[in-house]
Amino acid sequence: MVNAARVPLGLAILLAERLRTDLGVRWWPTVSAVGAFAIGVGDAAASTARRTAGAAAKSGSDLGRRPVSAVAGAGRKVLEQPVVAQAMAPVRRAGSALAGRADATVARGRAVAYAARADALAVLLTESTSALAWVRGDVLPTIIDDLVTDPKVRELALQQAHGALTDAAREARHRSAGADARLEASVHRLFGLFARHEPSS
Amino acid sequence: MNLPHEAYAGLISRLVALAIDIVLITVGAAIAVGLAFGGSQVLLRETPDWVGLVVGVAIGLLPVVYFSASWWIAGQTPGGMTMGIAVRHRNGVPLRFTRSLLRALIGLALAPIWFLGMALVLVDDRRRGLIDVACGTVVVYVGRNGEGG
Repeated sequence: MVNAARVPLGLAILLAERLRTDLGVRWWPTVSAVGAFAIGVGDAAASTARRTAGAAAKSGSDLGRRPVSAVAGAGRKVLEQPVVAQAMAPVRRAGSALAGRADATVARGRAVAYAARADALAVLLTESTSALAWVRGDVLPTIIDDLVTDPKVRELALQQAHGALTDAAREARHRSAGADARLEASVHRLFGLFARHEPSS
Repeated sequence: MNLPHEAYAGLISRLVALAIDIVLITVGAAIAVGLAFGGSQVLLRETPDWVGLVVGVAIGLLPVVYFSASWWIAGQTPGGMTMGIAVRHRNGVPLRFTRSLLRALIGLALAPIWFLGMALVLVDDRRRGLIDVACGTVVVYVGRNGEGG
């Protein structure tokens, strides 16, 4: 299943690979560590944003039934609760541990990059196949019809054929003239006739 | 006409040109026969005897007309054009109609002698065959080294 959101990223990676090949830059990796980290962070952020947006939408639907002031007051009360403070502790620990998880982020970024590249390749293959089918089915017959009925093209084909025949005739003349002289010289040698006409070619 | 020996057409060129002419005449005769008999079948729903007679006469005249008209009008048959050779009067001018017709009649009436007499091309100074000696003609290469046809 192709993830359409990843296709632009995959196309960018394919383009980078092409440039890398064309420019002969062998030392530069297809997806660098920095790039993979950025992609991993971006993917994590996108995932978090999706989850947060989903949760907010759910909470919003519940809070929408109450007045705004009541919501603000409830929020303050919730944050002041010791239970909530305890609940925020893992989040703080996760933030401090984020630096240690850089490798995991890079790995995640690479995985996302390769998946995006595969998605882009699949999309390109599908699109090129359908485009070729369209060209074969609709475009080429029209072009061929136009070429067949175009008097300029016919004239060009006739000129080509005439030129080929002329060349063939010229070659035949050249070879036959040489053969004439050789045959004549052979007959003269065979019968001991005068040898004043040596073959010119 | 004083031309170098190499300016006169040799045996192989002449035989190849003649072979091309024979093929063309044969194809033309076949087409004529097909058109005559097929046309009579379509138009008359039968093939009267006179159609065969007319076709026979036409086919008999076709080679004479072909060669004499070609030599008279262009100095070359289509086979000669292909091989780049032309028939000329021994003094170098193009053939007139009577000489063209005479050459065609003699050559076709005495076709075996025409062919055998071509061996003379191999030893004659101006590469003339027996028919050339008899009709006062020569066969030259044309369209080479600026020489016109």
